[in-house]
Amino acid sequence: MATTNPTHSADGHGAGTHDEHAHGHIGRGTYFRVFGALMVLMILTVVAFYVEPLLGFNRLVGVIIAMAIACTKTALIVLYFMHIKISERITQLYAAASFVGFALLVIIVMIDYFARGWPPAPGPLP
Amino acid sequence: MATTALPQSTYLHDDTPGLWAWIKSWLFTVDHKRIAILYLLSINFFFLLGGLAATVVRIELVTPQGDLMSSDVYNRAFTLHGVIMVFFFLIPVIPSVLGNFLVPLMIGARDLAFPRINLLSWYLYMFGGIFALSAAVLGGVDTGWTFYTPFSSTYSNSNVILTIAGAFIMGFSSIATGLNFIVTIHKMRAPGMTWFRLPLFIWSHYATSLIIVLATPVVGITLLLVAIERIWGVGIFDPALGGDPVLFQHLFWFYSHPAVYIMILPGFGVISELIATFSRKRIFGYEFIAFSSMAIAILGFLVWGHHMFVSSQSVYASLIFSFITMLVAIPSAIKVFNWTATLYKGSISYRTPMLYALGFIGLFVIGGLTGIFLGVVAVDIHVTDTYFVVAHFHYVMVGGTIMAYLGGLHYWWPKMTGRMYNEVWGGISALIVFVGFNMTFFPQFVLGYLGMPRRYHVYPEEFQILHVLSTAGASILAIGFIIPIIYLMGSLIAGKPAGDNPWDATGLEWQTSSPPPTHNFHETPIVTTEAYAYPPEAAELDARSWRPGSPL
Ligand SMILES: [Cu+2]
Repeated sequence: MATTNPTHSADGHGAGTHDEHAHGHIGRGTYFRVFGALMVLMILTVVAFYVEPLLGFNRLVGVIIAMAIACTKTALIVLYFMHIKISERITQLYAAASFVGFALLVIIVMIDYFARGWPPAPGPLP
Repeated sequence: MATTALPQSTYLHDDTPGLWAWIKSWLFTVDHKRIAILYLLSINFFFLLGGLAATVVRIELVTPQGDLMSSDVYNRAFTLHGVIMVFFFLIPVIPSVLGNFLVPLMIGARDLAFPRINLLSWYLYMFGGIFALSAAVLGGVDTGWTFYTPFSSTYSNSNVILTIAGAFIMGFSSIATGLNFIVTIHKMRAPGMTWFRLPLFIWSHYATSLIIVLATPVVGITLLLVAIERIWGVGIFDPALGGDPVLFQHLFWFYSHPAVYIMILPGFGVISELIATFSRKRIFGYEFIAFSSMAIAILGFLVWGHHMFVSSQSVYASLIFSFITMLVAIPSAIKVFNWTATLYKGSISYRTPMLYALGFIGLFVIGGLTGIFLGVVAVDIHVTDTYFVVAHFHYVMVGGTIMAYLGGLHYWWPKMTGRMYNEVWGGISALIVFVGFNMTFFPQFVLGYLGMPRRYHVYPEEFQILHVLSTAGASILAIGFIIPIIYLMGSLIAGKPAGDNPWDATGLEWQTSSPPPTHNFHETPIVTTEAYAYPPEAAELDARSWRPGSPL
């Protein structure tokens, strides 16, 4: 992952002049392409919202589709705009750790919600 | 002023012409040592304010009737105490003052990795503090420092948003500091300073920074959500709008339990340094202490539900949280056992910092063990929201963090200022703090177990004797905090020059001059030994050459 990324060298950024960027460089063209992809995905989210009821989709399916699109957008932003794709291993580790932390928060909270009322609490005494 | 043999060019030294230039040289400094001094002054100011609020609370509780103030004013007083002490004192104090000063010095760096972000963190701290204080001046907040919903989001008509904004901004100050430490420790260690040669102070600050960076954003977003719900009525926590108040507790404690370790882990680091220096021994079980910090940082993320045993949380979740909470006791106990094992056959000198360190161990053991009581669901349900909880977390926070801070401040004071303080007064005030502290908070364990709820200003008469004892202890504690202010300030004028290494300690910070030059080291140090490389026979030699009145 942390190897050099020579695919986007045809731009005017002066790639590789700073040592922080020794692990690769993201060209200007890529930024615009990622931006375009984000815009397309955003439009897709809105379109999905209006189209799904027409197709008779369950609301749960709608949520899953919206979440999938949102995760794709997040991945694009994290990898390209936040430079994780070309960062050092330790930076990638920290980015991964923050996702693990976030996953813990969401999963454990959802487990709690799921298991509420097991076993049924005894009501007020007669 | 008799002996001023301090080094000439230090970070404190200015050749700036005029007062304004001098002020600017401090307010726009990017020197980590000067920023630490700025933090020292501002954090101690907030500590005194928080202490003032505590005084108001303790005086009200002298009598069972609410005769000094209304319940409403009382709510605002304890909220002010909690918000200031937690967000503006306990969380930043050791990392921002001692950590800022010492992290670069201890690893042999010239400064932190991002000096300007470091300065920014101080401004964010002050900015957040001004928000929180303006909330207090404009009438205060009555939610408690925990801002529980739906009270904070729907019902309270006090200055919730201003206070939340203060805590929110202060969170960014923490993040900036944590980020700086992580990058600095990874990237700027001196040649030869391998990970396992790092002082344990650095390990504990690394673990703390990890928690800060991963947990603080969650509380920021949570507080933001409360503000959004208050301002625009978006249903997040209010059940009437389709929200869930317990979600707030999940999000809040996901940060605020790890925040306990943000407060105490740097304290562990300080204590490791003090115990080794004043026992003149290599610390026992270095790797275990280092990794126990990391273990606490990681486990700390998995236990937040122990604050929610009575909040309609699923009983299975409570069971799991209770079990993981027990696991935290293991790394904590590893530390305590290793410190005591370091003391064994050491050449112990009871200087002021060591008195605080020994006090820390005793108080932290009580605070930690009562934490196990509270981690057991059945006991916790009995004592939830009683003074037992209040006593427990004060034993950890005051008995832990503040003892470590004062110990560390005394230990590195000669390095920061170049001058020694009055050792006699130092020892006396350390003992006064210890006695006052126990007298204040031990009765609260009893009170809580008997059923005295927290956050009440009126109580049954049979509790009065214990409350009076507690208030009396608090006034002794206050004296113990005021004496050091006096003699430490006095030392700036009349203190004897300390020399580079007054404690005969290991560690790179003692190899440079006191106070250090602006760039810390005249030449980059090269590290060839482990941390705490006291010669094996140091303790024995010391013991043999000791005479009454010997300095060490
Ligand atoms: Cu906790």
